[in-house]
Amino acid sequence: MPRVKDLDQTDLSNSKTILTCEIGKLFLRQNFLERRIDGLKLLSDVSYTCGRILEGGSSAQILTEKQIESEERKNKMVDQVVEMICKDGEVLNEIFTKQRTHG
Amino acid sequence: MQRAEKILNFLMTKEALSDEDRELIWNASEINDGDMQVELFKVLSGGAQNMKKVDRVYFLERVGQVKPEDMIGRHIELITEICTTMRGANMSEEVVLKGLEMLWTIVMRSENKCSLLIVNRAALGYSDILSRMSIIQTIEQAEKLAETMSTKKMGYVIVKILSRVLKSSFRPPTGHPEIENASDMVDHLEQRYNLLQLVIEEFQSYMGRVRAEISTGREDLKGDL
Repeated sequence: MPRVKDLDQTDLSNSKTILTCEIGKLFLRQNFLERRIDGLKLLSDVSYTCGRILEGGSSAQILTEKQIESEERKNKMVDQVVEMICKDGEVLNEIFTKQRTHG
Repeated sequence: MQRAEKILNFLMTKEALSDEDRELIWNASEINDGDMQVELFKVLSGGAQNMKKVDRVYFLERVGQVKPEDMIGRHIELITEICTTMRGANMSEEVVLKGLEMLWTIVMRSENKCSLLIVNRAALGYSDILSRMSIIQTIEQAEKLAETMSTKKMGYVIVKILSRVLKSSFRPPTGHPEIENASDMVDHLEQRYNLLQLVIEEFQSYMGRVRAEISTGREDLKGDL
């Protein structure tokens, strides 16, 4: 486990996004509608952040090696988020199934 | 449901939706809950720009399975958005032609039990899609419209579509060597299909239908004369 002081801005930002995604999923499993709505908000924020990263990836500017490496780590994090959201169809089930949405 | 929009857009951008996921989403649109249905269609239409071909084909096919009498404006909107939000390398002729065919069927089959509102919306959607197509494809479709008019079927809707297409799709430069503007296209249709005569005949036929309706007591249509 790396120490926080050894992490750079990209690592910190990635960890924050992953953690937010985990908390969002956890909230989404709760039996209280308000908590589930909070979970959905967190996952929505995570999706927005990841969407921005994907948009940024198409930039035509020339990147330094360090920037390329940082972009790769961000893209890996985005793939990890996709995996977390899609795992077992749990998140989409929570959103698109009536008894949970209106519970 | 609106909070789900960003999640859905993100997953579609990453091409991460499975067949089961798409089915789950579509089934939610069929739950008999007005608000949820409206919101879901808003989310789907809003997210159409992020859909990959597989998502577009899937949702088009599902809308195609809706019974004509159950068709709502949101279905038409979804078909139109799916076909008009493709850009560059993501452009799929298969998707566009499928969407056009679906809207054409809604417009042309007056026996299909769709309401007039839906037919009019489908006509608007049809011309919106055409305005995003290449000039060659648009000319082909305009010819198809003129040809259909000569069959005297749904003439008033065809006139509506054709006039919108002529206004929006033939602004110079068109990139076509012979048809450089809307006027050239009108000349082309006039030469080939006798367009003006067809429009006049359709107008006369329309007025005849209005008179017949008025004689059966539809006083509100007098303004149309």
